[in-house]
Amino acid sequence: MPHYKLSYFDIYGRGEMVRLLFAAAKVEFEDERFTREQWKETYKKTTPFGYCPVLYIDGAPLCESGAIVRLLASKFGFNGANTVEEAHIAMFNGALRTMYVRLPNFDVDEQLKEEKTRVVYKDHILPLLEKIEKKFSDKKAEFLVGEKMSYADLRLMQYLIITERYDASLLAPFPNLVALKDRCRNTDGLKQYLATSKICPF
Amino acid sequence: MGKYKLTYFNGPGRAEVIRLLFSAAKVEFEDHRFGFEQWPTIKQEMPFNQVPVLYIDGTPLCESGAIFRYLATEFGMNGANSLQAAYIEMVHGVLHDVYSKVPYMENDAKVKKEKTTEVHQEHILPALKKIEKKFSESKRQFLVGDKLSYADLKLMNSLILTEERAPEILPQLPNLCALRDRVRNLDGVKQYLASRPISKM
Repeated sequence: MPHYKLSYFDIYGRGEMVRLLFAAAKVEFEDERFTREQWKETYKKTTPFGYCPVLYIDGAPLCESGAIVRLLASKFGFNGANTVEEAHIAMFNGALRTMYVRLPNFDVDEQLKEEKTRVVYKDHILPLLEKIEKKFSDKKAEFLVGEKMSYADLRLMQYLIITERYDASLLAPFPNLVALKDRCRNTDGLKQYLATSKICPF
Repeated sequence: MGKYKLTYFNGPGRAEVIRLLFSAAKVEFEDHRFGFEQWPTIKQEMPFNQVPVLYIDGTPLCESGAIFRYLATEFGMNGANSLQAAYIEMVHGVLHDVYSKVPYMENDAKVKKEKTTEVHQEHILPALKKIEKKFSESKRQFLVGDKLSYADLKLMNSLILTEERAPEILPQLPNLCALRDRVRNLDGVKQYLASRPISKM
């Protein structure tokens, strides 16, 4: 097994999916986390293109979170059974990211942030979850795509946990997705990671 | 319907790499383009209210990355193994990140020109210089591995935009420009580039 090091901010952001994949696969990795100041002063100039996260595989750098997630998902068996499943996994992952990334994580004004958050849920996130809930309940399967847990399920789990912490009542219309979230969070590897990992606002 | 139908605005945006993949592979597809005024109606018909959507034998797939990676794999343009696929995605992602800062939707022509030049100097050129250096040291014909990949198509398309809007940076990128020209002259790609609508964005 190669030596893996993930280098990223001390937040979920674009790094948490990578951490979740290592946890789900029960593969060890060095979880390097830095502050914004440390990024600017030290780490940024050591990266291939001035971006993070970076995954170092036996010292060789790979950046772009999508590339990292898909490489590890393929290696660890969380990327479907064929190219069509890979495409559908990427579709669910991308659609969820597109909506959740609209949340005003960096707003300073608390009241404005709360108002915007409500709007993002109402106009973007909840309608998407409704569509996914319907597709998923029609499918009558354990996981979003194919027969096995994929990174799309991990992404859904990650985001629904964030929503649960914010306002669990928003998830009431999506019982099948909630059940999927809980199935994933209780799998061996993820359970331990989630019990001990730092809780971040985003 | 034939096997493949792509639905997107009448513009490059998030569909152009998909169209270039079909062209490079010389695989037929229906290139359904609609105007902005039709978007409110079409949006409701899309599986997740977004485009592009690729219909494969009538089954819809959305998310441009999912679409172009699927097609690239089908057409043999996604590297020889998962590590090469990761590097291809990395290069494509970096190009996408820096070129997405270009103010395509800006209406004020003067502001658009100034901002485009600034984006090229501050973001695009630094990234391209790093890619140029690695590429010239590798002495390869293509950005990753030994075959054309969608990263090469993205690079070609991006440098064509730069030819039009900030050509002054190109002399610093001789190997990437040579790659651009190799790719633009490929059978299939050449014909598509000659016939595609000129984008106003």
